[in-house]
Amino acid sequence: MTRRLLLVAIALAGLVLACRGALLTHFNHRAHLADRPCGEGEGAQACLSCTSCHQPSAPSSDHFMAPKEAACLSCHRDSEAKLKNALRGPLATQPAAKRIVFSHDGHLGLPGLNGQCVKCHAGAVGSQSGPPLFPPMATCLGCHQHQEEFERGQCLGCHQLSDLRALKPVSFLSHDLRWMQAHGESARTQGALCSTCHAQAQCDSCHDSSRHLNPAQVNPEQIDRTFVHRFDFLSRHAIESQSTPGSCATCHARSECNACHASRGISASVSGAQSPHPPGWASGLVSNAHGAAARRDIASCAACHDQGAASNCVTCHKVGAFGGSPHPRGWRSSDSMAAPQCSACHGRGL
Amino acid sequence: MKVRESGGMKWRTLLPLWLVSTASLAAEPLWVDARVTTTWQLFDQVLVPGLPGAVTRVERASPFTLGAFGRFGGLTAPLVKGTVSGEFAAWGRVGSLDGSAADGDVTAAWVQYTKGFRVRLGRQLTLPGSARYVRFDGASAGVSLFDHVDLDAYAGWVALPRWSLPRGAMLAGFVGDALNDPAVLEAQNRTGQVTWGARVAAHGSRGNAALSFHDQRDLIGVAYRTVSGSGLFRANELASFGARLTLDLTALAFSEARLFVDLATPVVPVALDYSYQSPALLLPRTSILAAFGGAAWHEVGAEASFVALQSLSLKGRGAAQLFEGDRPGGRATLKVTWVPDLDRRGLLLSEVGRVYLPASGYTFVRAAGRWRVGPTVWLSGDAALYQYDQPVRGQWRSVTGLASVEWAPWPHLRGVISGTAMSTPFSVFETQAMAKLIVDWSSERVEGSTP
Repeated sequence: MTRRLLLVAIALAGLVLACRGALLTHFNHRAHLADRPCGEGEGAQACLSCTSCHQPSAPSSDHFMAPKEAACLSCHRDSEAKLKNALRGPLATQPAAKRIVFSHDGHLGLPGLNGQCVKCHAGAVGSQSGPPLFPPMATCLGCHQHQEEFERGQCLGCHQLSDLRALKPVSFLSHDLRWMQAHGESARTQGALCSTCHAQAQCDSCHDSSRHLNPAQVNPEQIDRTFVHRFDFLSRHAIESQSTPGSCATCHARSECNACHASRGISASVSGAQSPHPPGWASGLVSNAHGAAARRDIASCAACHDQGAASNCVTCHKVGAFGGSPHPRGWRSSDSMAAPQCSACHGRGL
Repeated sequence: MKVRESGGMKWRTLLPLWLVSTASLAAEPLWVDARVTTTWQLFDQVLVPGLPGAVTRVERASPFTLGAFGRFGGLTAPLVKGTVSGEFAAWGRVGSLDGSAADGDVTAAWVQYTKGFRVRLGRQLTLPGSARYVRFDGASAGVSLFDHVDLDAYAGWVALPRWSLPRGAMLAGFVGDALNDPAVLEAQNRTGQVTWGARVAAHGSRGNAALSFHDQRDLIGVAYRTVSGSGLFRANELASFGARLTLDLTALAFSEARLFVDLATPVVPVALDYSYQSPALLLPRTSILAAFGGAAWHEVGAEASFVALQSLSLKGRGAAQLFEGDRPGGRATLKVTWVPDLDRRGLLLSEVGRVYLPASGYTFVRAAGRWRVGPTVWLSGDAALYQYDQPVRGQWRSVTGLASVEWAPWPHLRGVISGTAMSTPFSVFETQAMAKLIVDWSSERVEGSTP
């Protein structure tokens, strides 16, 4: 096992070292913008800027497009095949997070930028270990103060509505790390902020178990998402439910467990059903493990045995019966003895 | 004249200030967002092992499921100063599945009026202090005070999620006798199933805090009555601390607690967390079994990520668990994600994990990939092997593989065709197929000036 881990670590380290010097894009921007000798003297090549290749999509637009082949062939007339491979334009789509309402013209003229694209797009001349090609939101917030819009949940000033449905903000509301554990608490305390991007229906796409499609089944192409029920969850659900009991209770009620178990003939609610418990489970002779198991994880017991007072533990565990008191140490309740759950045993004021 | 000049000066001075303030507090523009998803599935459903004496039979199922949601916001009306927003979501299914020919439900249908305060009417969700969420038909209202305090309250009838109906039988279906047995299916009776609650929350630049109360009743009486407190404190850009605590008022005991620390270090962000649960208190108080449980569950976990390059990231989580009594446990996963190209045409993913739960548990290995083969076409594959510590139905492992083709000819239209093959303890060999079509629509904003 240790040897396998070592091999995996070596492979990963090799991959990191191999990629560390790689360019961020297939196109070597640095070679054209920084390393290429140029000048204004006689015989010198003209210096290139970003706009030498990235032209506006329309004369009145300041949305800059990826260069076409002709732009490269104006200098590199003898390497057409190489250029086609380097550009690969049709697949280089802009990430959804970057489709913001933005004016290049308005920014390039600002004193702090002086027409320099690389002040924001620093990754264009860097490597994979350097800054990103598209500026993160923190770059925008370095100049623009949007605290009020944040608090009001008004993102449409910059972001497009259709993008907000699936965007994961990384600069100010990170959805990384323990997000799966924490998103419920965030939704509870910042519900208005969540609703800026997410519809209530999106909560239901995972949490609503009333439909037969779970998100792992209906989204097989989304391999990078964290789905709880991915693959053959049926075979491992018993292990998962014991490993993290509260997680199941987030969506599933005890009756749902029983409805499924009953149809498989392993529930106390079906007469003649087979018992899933080992021999001597509650005999008190060979073994008597059921008491400790019930103390430890009563929610699992409730999956089958909560079909009313007569169908479960109170047959034996009641005042005057031989099962003894069911209450754990330190048991307290503010319920009245007349409450239905108490009166099954304490009905006569016992 | 002086007065007019003075008035003019005042007007000229205040107008820009007013314009600036109204610009920053500009009303929300009208927007509309909608999605329709159609899914078709093909698989065999079979009852395994079957009720005692029942003959096991295999049935082919090919249900169509249609899901749709729409929402809008920023709607104004004459003579009404506030704005109106709303959402509607529903799903419906035709085709035999689990013994029924058709099914469907409305999961959200509400409108909200906002004018300083907010009032929402209809079918909606609330997130009470416990881990669950509750869907109800009713009203909720809230108001923000002093820009830093929110007061919210809600009340209504609980919309029962029909949890008693079995569903999702991808590998093993159900016999009609069991489905129709009234002893198995709970009657859906909303009488007395009401809920109400309130929350006060304060938020600032360094964190937030909230205190909430939730009361939920079922047919018998009080099912949940809890008070929850939560808080988040950002000490600096590096460290955040948070906690949540839920007190069950009927048992006067803590049903859940969670503490966490986030250390956003530049190279390896780390999150540490501790969770506590008392499973018996997660049951409704009307369940007599709540009186039988007593042991709690503890988990201490850590999660870290490392972005080696912009294209390669590693993410791991490990947790140790303890059920009070005598049983330790734990789980750990490590995921490596590699995006080889900046244009994100490819994604390779590998994951290993281990769940330890004496005397059971499992180990899994997963490999997946996604590749954009053309401007509008993606291919993806995903495969996993689960090895069980103890045999499940006599089998030691599950093997699952799936492949899908995704086609997105337009930004608002996407189709997926997928096939799955698997060998599991419930089926020596099983194949499934699925086709999905998604249509999105939203009122796009025209690219404009710099905000």
